[in-house]
Amino acid sequence: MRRQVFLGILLAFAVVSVAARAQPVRIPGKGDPALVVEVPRHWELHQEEGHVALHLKGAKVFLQLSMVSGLAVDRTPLPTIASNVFEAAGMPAWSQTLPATIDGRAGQAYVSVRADPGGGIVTMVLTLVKLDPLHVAALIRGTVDSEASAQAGYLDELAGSIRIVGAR
Amino acid sequence: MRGRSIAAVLMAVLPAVLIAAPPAAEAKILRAPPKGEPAISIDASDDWEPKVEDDNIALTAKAGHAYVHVGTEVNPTIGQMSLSAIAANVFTAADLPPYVLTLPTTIAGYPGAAFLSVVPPTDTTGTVTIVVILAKLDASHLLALIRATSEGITPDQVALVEKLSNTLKVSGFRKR
Repeated sequence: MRRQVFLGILLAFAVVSVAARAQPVRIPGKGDPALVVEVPRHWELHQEEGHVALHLKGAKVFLQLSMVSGLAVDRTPLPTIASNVFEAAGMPAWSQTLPATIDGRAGQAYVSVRADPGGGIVTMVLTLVKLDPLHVAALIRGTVDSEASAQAGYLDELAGSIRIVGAR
Repeated sequence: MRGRSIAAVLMAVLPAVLIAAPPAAEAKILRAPPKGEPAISIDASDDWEPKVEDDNIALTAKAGHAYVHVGTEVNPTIGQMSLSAIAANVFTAADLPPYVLTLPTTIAGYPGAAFLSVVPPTDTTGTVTIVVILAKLDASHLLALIRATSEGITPDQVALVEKLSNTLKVSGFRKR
């Protein structure tokens, strides 16, 4: 029974992955505003409720996209949202910030770095863009490698292809 | 940054960000070079210990944990090189880990790119985050803003780094 469930999950996951390659991925699936990205074949897609995670095949870089929405967005400063995101990801508070954009819309990027006991270093850059009083677009660039300059180019290329649709 | 490459500056980053905070200094707008154009200027508040040398400016946070360096590089090949290639050369020459992430950003109103490198912790020091922001001013001039922060920096101290960076101005260049 467990094996059947496991195979079912794998199959469902494979269907989602194939479908995502065939057409743009949209976050959220319905409603505006939304984030849209074409997923190249060399990226592996993990799609869950409210966000997508993309891993470069054979590499240690990843990108996550989500839309933070709700009535609380308007009264929540971006740094507070950033704190919550990093805390949920098990990352320390940000060590640097810088101006950044998603699809040309101005926002703020937050850099967090974590050195693991085994010697690995996790680096995450969270870009937040407030789209309206109810929505904040969130984009995470991440790596668990310290030798990833070439892979960083792929990551930046994918991030640069993200489009915001339905925003005022 | 004539007479002193970006890589040489980066080599000085780690000692600067890890040393104890220097004594207090007065707030003022710093300009490098002091006269003539092109020039860069930055508003160093009382939170920073500044040092102006030739046409570059270095600032160490009095509270520790942060070091900022800004300067221009003159090289006739800049227009033909990508910012990522320049950044790769800089980190290699400075014997620092290669950048692991990059993203588009702006610097003094110029479009550019930020390159992130992380220096692993040692027995005596914590992790150091290095962000090198590069922008081409024209075909032969590069603007470089180097920011290093060490583990334990607080969000308020990070905000000071961002505030300082936002005061950076460039004069004597026509924006493309």
